[in-house]
Order: sequence, then C-alpha cells, then structure tokens
Amino acid sequence: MKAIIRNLTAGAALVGAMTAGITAASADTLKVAAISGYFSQGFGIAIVDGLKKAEKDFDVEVKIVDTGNRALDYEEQFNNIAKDGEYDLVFVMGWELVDALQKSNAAYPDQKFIFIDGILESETMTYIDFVEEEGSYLVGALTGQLTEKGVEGFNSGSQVGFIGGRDIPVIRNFLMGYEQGVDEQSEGVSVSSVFSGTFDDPAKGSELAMTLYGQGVDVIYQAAGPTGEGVLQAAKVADKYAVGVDIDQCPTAPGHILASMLKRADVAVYDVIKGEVDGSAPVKPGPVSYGVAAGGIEVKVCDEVKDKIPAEVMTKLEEVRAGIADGSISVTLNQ
Amino acid sequence: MEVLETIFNVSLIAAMLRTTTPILLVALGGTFTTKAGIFNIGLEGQMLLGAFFAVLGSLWTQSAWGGVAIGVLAAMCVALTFSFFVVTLRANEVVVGLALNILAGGLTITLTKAIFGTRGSIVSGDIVGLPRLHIPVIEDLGSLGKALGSFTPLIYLAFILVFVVWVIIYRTKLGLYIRVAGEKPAAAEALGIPTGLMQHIASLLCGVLAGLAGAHLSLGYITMFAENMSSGRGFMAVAVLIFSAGDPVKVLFGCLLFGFADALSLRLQTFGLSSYLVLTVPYLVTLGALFLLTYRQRPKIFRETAESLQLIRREKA
Repeated sequence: MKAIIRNLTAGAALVGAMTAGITAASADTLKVAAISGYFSQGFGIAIVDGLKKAEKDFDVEVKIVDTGNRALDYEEQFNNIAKDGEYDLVFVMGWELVDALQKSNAAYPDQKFIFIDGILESETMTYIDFVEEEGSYLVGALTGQLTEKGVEGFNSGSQVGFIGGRDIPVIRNFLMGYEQGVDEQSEGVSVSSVFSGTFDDPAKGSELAMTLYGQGVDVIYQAAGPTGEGVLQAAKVADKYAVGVDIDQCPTAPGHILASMLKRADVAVYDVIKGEVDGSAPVKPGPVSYGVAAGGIEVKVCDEVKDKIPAEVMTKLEEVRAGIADGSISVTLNQ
Repeated sequence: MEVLETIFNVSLIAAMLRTTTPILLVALGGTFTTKAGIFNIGLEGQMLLGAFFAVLGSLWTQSAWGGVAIGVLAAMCVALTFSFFVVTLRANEVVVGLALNILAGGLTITLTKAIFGTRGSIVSGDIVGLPRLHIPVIEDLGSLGKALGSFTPLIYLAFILVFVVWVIIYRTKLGLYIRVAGEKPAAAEALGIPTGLMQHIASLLCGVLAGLAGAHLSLGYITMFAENMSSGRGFMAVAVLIFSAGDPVKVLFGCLLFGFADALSLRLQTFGLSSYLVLTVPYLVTLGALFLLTYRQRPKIFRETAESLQLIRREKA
C-alpha cells in the first residue's frame, strides 16, 4: 500500500514536471550552441556535461561545434552560427578563438555570445568569470595549515610553493588569493613563488619544482598549464606534494597530488542556461562571477591523500569555505 | 652566507646537468651538420617530433627504449627530408629548416588531436618513462654522488657522446670527409669524396641526436608530451653552434654554461627578483660568453662563411 502511495506521489510530481515542460515548450525551445576546440578534454568535458544536464532538465536543444585546428576559418564558423540568429545562446571556450569571436560579435551584436573563463573588452558579450582567487585562497588555507601543524610529509620547512606560468594579471590573481589564504589561515608560513615564463614547457616546470622542493618546500600550488604538468610529475619524483588546477588532476600522480582547485564549468554552464530558461537570471552582457558561493569554484582534496590530512585541518578548510561563501571572509585583489 | 648556501649547493650541479642535457644532445647533433657546411635551423622541429614520437612509441611498444627508438627514427625522417631539400634540391637551408619547424609544430598538434582526441598535452600513466639509474660507484661519493648517481640514462649518455662525437669528427675517415665536404667542397670533389652523400650522412647523424634529445625531454626529463615542449632549446643549440663553429668540446662548454645560468636563474627567482628579468639571464650569459670567447676567431669565421657562400654562388653560376 505504501509503495502505491509513493508511486502516486511520484506520478503527481512527474505530471507536474510534464506540465512545466509543456508550458516551456509552448514558449520557444531554447537553442544553445557551444563552440570550442577542447570538448574532448578536461575543462571542455565539464562544459559538455553541463550542457547535457541542462538538455535533460530543461527544454533545451544543444549543438556542439568542434572548431578543430583550422585557425583560418574560426571566424567563418562563428558567423555560420550567428548569421541566422538560430541560437539563443552561444558558449565559447578557448583563447585562440578570441580574435575571431570579437570580429563575429561586432558583425552580429545581437547574438548572445557567452565566453567561458575570461573577460574580454567587448561590452556586448557575456562572460563566465571563475573567481580563481577564492579557490586559491582555499588552497592556501589547506597547505598553510598542513605546514604550520607540521603534518607528516609537510614538515620540512615553513614555506609553501607557487609556480605560475607567466607573470600576468590572471596568474597574479591565483597567487594573491593563495598568499592571502596562507597568511590569514596559518601562522609562520610564507609563500615562495616563481614563474616559469612559459605555459608549454613541462621540463622547466619540473626543474622549477625540483628547485623549490630542494629549498625545503613540501607542497607546490601551480597555475601554469602544461608547464604545471611537469610540476605534478616532479612531486612524484621528489616524493613531495603538488596541487592541481582547473580540472581534477589527482590521477596524474596519485598519492602526490594533495588537492585540485576545480573550476566547475559544468555548474556555470548549467546555471546560465537555467537562469535564461526560468527567467530568474536572463543572460545579459557583462561578466557573471562564479566563485565558491555559486559552486563554480571548489577545492577537491584527493582521495589518495585524504587519510594523511588531520580531521582538524579538514574542518578548518570547510569553515574557511563556508566563510568565503557567506562573505565573512573576503578575498581581495590589490592590483 | 646562508643565502649563498641556498643557491650554490649540490642540487645546483644536479639541476645544471639536467637543464644542460637536452640542449647538449641536440647541439651535438648540430655539430655534424655544421661541420658538413649546412646551417641547420631545423633542430627545434626534429627535437619536437622526436619527443612526440617517443611518447607515441612508448605507448605502442610499452617500452621506454622502444619509444626512444621510434622518436629517433621520426627525427631521422625529418633530417632526411631536410637534407633532401637542402643537399639534393639545393633549396635554401634557412627556409627549409624553418618550414620543417613549423611543420613539426603543426603536425604534433594535429596528430595529438587525431590519435588522442585532445589538445595541448598527452599525459597518461601508460607512457613508460626511462628508468632512473642508480650507479653505486657514483652514489657512494657522498652528497655530491647522491645527486649525480641517479639520473635517467640519456643524461649520462649525452656527456659520453661529447667524446664519441669528437672522435668521429676528428679521428675517423667519415669525420674527415664530412669536414672536407663542409670546409672545402671543391677540394673534396677533386679528391673524389661524394660531398652530397657526406652531407646526407651528417644530416642523418644530426637527426639521431636531435631525436635522442626529444626522447630525453618527453621520456627522461618528464614523462609526457606537450605542444611546443622543446620550447626553443633547438634554437639555443643553433646559437651555441654558431659561436662554437661545431666543435664538440666548445659545444659542451657553451651548453654547460647555459645549463648553469638556467639552473641559477631558477634559484634567483625565489629571492623575489622579477621573473621577466631573471628568465633572460641564461640567454644573456650564454650569448655574452660565447661572444667573448669567439671574439678573436670571428673575423676568420666571417671570412670563411663569406668564402663558402661565394663558392656556392660560383658553383650555381
């Protein structure tokens, strides 16, 4: 009998969902396109996940366009998507597309382009901006605590490391958040930071990491693209720790990656579509920030090292996370 | 004092040898082409393709040495293409070299996408990297030995190869022929030495070493491939070659100097100096030193270059 009642309620919920679906459909099906060259890896996969979830939950039609490497016709690809005004929203990811995107945006200013992970000059586009300094602050809180408490594996010295790709504003954001996290959430711990000057030299990343490890640093946070992959590998060779960035990098060197600072592109993309569909936050030009509060940024402690981290540190990390989310801890950028 | 100790220590020497090796290997390859009278600006591309195919080969054969072999073969194919255009078809060596560099860059990206469906880098636990050797004799030599006794094999090989290359170039008939073909092609032809063949062989030998350099980068130094991971090391080798006129011993010192300055600059950054400034140090130091070292020889190098260029022009006319 109970089972039947439960089924009935479930059925009622289903009917509710269907009517909701029908009303949405009687309006227009939201047509969404996503264009990038990276849909088969890390960050791109997350975007596809977010789109698929939105397609399942709402009345949304998704078209995914892989740009390939044909740099010459990027602009044509954008124009093809924009010219008929067929798509309500167009998600774009990848810095190599920026030039073509801006030209196409100028030609079709009414097309709603949403650029993921960065802010460009154009005022008619929407930008999904991940608040990397908040995630970096969390990483700083974690590594700072571990070093301050002298947890086994983190007790060689009083410094934590940072390796950036190039000394440019976006990487400085990572560093500033990280330094604040270390300074405010631990005592007597400082950040030793270096830049590799390049995003695509993993050998140099490895060498820089070896240098820092040699100077008594136990854990390095990297924001350096493929150069950073070299840092992760050096952590394994030196039997030390590194922190992954953007995507879940824990599997790169299991047991030597402490955590990953994730940019949840899936959450952001889903959220943007949801806002547009239910009208709670229609897409409008300008940046939309996805930080810790919105679930766009999170720090995942790797499963392989979880048992090495004391419960009090985990508790503290959660406190800090909650603090950033409710605004009681503010991460500032002083540029 | 304490500051100096954190900069100048055993690990600096280990770091120097690590940063030197890839450039040394590829520059040693370039000594053959330099001696054979070919200005080989295509080292970067050969190295990059070597690195890419080494990773691919390692995945296919599930063996690091299988990967090295395939990486070397790939670089040799590029080298052969280079010498075919430059020697057989007498195309401009700078143009061909640059074209092959661009080809290598694009090809690795396209193949990465075609084979792995990804962009940027190939990272996988299935790539078998070169093992770290543990040489007991060296390791027993105290802390210095500990730092130097556990490298991947190609690091040791690179330094052994300096001697081997020197012997080939200065103490074998092949080396003599290559040098004659480069320095006095007319005399070589008069003696019945096939200069074209010698240049092909020199280019192939260069390919072998450039391939080793690439394989070392992607299987030894680290175990992964990334777009453009050679990062200008091939061009740095070209610079060293120009100033050393292809002499293996001078090449060794040029590369060691660069490696030292590079390793040192990485350490200087931790003292809060601007990365932009510090990262130029190795290049400035190396170029400055090579410039000074060759100060006296330069008129001779210039004259010889001018002569050989005139010779080619006369031949063409």
